[in-house]
Formats: sequence, structure tokens, C-alpha cells
Amino acid sequence: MTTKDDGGSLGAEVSSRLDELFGDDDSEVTPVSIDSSDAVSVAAESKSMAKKAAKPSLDTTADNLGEDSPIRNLKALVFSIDWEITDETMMDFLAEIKRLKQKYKDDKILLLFLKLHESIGKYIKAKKARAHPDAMKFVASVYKNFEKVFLAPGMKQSRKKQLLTAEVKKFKDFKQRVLLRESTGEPVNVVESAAGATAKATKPDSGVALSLETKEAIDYILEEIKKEIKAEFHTLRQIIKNLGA
Amino acid sequence: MALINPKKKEVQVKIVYYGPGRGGKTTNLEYINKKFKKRIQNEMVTVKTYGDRTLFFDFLPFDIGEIKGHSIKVQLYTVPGQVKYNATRRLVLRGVDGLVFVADSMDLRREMNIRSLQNLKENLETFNKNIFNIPLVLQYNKRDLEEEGIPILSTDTMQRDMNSRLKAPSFAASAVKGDNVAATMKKIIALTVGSLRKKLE
Repeated sequence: MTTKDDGGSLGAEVSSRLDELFGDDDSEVTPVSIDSSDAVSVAAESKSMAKKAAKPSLDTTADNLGEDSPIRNLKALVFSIDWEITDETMMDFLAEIKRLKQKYKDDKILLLFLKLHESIGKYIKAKKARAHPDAMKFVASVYKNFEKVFLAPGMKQSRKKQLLTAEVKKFKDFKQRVLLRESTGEPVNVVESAAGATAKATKPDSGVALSLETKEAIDYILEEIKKEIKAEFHTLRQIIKNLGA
Repeated sequence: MALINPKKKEVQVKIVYYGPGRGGKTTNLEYINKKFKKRIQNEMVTVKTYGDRTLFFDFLPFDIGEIKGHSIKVQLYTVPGQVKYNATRRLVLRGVDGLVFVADSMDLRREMNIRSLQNLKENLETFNKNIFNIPLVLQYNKRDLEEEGIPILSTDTMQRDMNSRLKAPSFAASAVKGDNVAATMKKIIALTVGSLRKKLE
């Protein structure tokens, strides 16, 4: 099997060349948890590794929740949809949100965070692969601040509100970007707001692109150029067709 | 399939770093690019849009010199992690000669690692390639998280989950710190070039 075979003398020659080229990497001297006598096979995990004091991490990429945390499942689902957007994952995500909404119905701040999750979850479920590329970024951002508030029950109410308000603002901005994206050619879609209201996409007027962030403006311009090229090709095809006739 | 130019005695080898989103594939390439900048003498090309997510691919080409009379050119690629770009992921796998599967050691990512590996297997099949026959190295990345008190999967568990049948070489690594990043790369290059020996001899 090739995966286990370096190719005999050729493999040895390559290895030696690679050592010459990349051999002086200090980081290889102290592998994290590997049997240094054989860097190819992973040895059993070193159980003696001293555990440093747990540092609370607020990054959504870190697993800082206990096994029995009530929001652990939600976090796992946030990761899951980051990898794969399927009906099943989205249904699980929305079901988990529903469960948590019921559980924390008396906590207004948490409830609103969950409603934001629900809104964006419904949007992603509806659009799937065609969802705006920022959708997952928004889910991660909402979750990050939700977790921040959830893990700090002693946090001042004003600070909690501040975090929530920032996410609501991001949601509104995101909604605008979605609407604009839809108006550049994609079918009109409905984005449900956290407050339960719905907003339908409308064609922007000619000045809209000027007020966008640069990258959004570039996307808009690119879309316009694409349309232009498409139209040109169509015309050319017609001319060629007519010449042939 | 490696591109071999018998006239020029040149071999182009394509190696793809594959794995779940945010698993550290780009960080691997960035580390290699930074650490060995003088020797690589090429610029890493990153095609990105929308913030920090790789939506298309990262590409790092370099030469490793002459082996058996052939000049060996290596191209390292990464693929986007999100399945909504599976078409791109598949596209980057076209003509792949060797693979590094970068798995995320974080506890919560366990299922995603398995799904991503399954996805790799399926995507390879679309090019009539078999995951059991292609040069492959597994990298269990983000081992450094344990130092921060973040629960991670043991390498035994990761081996059982992903490597019990593949039996591919594997490394515990930290792309952020650079631990075993070069070792992973060296291993996959050696395996891949080794797999071409019949064509080179």
C-alpha cells in the first residue's frame, strides 16, 4: 500500500533531500504528544501531561463547556452547520433552539439571543448552499456572545444588553446585505427578523452600491460585469448564427 | 496524477491538505511558507473572500531539487472546509497525488472529522481514486489546546475513529505552534514521490 511505502531507495533519497531543505525546524524537536522514537506513528496520548489551570476561552472555536452544559449540544450543532448545511442538521439546530427558548423563557436577554439564532437558522435552512457567505460568520458571532452571557451569570445587565444590541445591529446589517445580494439577481427571499417581522427584498435604486462596504460594492460590480459579458456573448452568438444562416 | 515531463525531466506533484473547516489547513501552509520562506522562494497564493474563511484555495509551490535525474516540483493546496463549496473541494482534488488529512483534535469536532474523511473518500471516488491506495498522512491538529484546559480527543480515539482501517502515517500536531507541521509535509512528499518510483526509474 502506497500510504505505508516511501518507495524504497527513492523514498530515502527524497527524505534525505527534505531533511536538507526543511530539517532545521525547531518545532519538530518537541512534538506535542508523539512517540519521538517514531515520528510516523502516533503513540498513546501522554497521560502525564500536566493540566494547566483552565483558562476560560470565549472563542467559539474552543470547547470550554463542561460535559453536562445545557448549551453543549447547541455548540456542537453550530460547529456541525459550519461544516455541512443539511436539512437534518438545520432541523436539529432549530429544535435545540426551541428547547432552549422554553428553558430560558424567563431570561429576556438569553431569549433574544436565541431568537436571533432562530432567525438566522431559518434563513440558512431555506437557502442552504445559496445562503449569504456571511451567514455562518453571523451564527458564530451570535453564539459567541450568547455563550459569553450564559457563562457569566454575574455579568452586569447593562453589559449583557450591550452585547445583545451589538448582535441585533449585526443582524440588521446582515439582513441588508442579504437583501442587496438577492436584488443582484438571485430570487427574492424572506428573512425573518428576531422580532418576528419579515422583510422582503426590493430592488435597490441606482445609488445603493455607493453606500456599501468596499467588498460588497466589488461583488455588486462583478455581478454587473458578469451580466454585461453574458449579454455580449448572447449578442455575439446571435451574430454568428445569422452569419451561418 | 503527477505531471511528468520526460523532455525536461521535470515532475510536478500535487498535494492537497483536506479536512473540516477551521481545522488548520491554511495555518499549516502559512507556517511552511513563513518558516521556510528563504528556501521556498515562492509566494503563497490565497484566494479568499469574506473575512478569514478560505472560499477557494491556498496554493504553495516549491522545488525540492533533483531526484533520480528529475527536477521535483511540489504544489501544496488546501480546500475550503464548508460543504457548500464541495464543488470547489472536488475540483481541487482533480489530479491529486498525495493527501494530508488535517483533523481537529477538539472534542466537539469528533463527528465533523469523521464526516469530512468520509467526504474525502467519496470525492476521491468521483475521480476513480481510492483512499486506501493514495498516499495519505493524517494530522491530528490543535494538540496545543490541551495546554489551555480545553478538552481534546486523545490520539488513540482519533486513531480509532479515522485510522483503524486506513493505517496511514499520522502525526499529533499544532499548526499554530508549528509542531510536526514540517514533519507532516516531509512525510507526505516522501510518500508521494516514492509512489512515482516506477515512472521515474
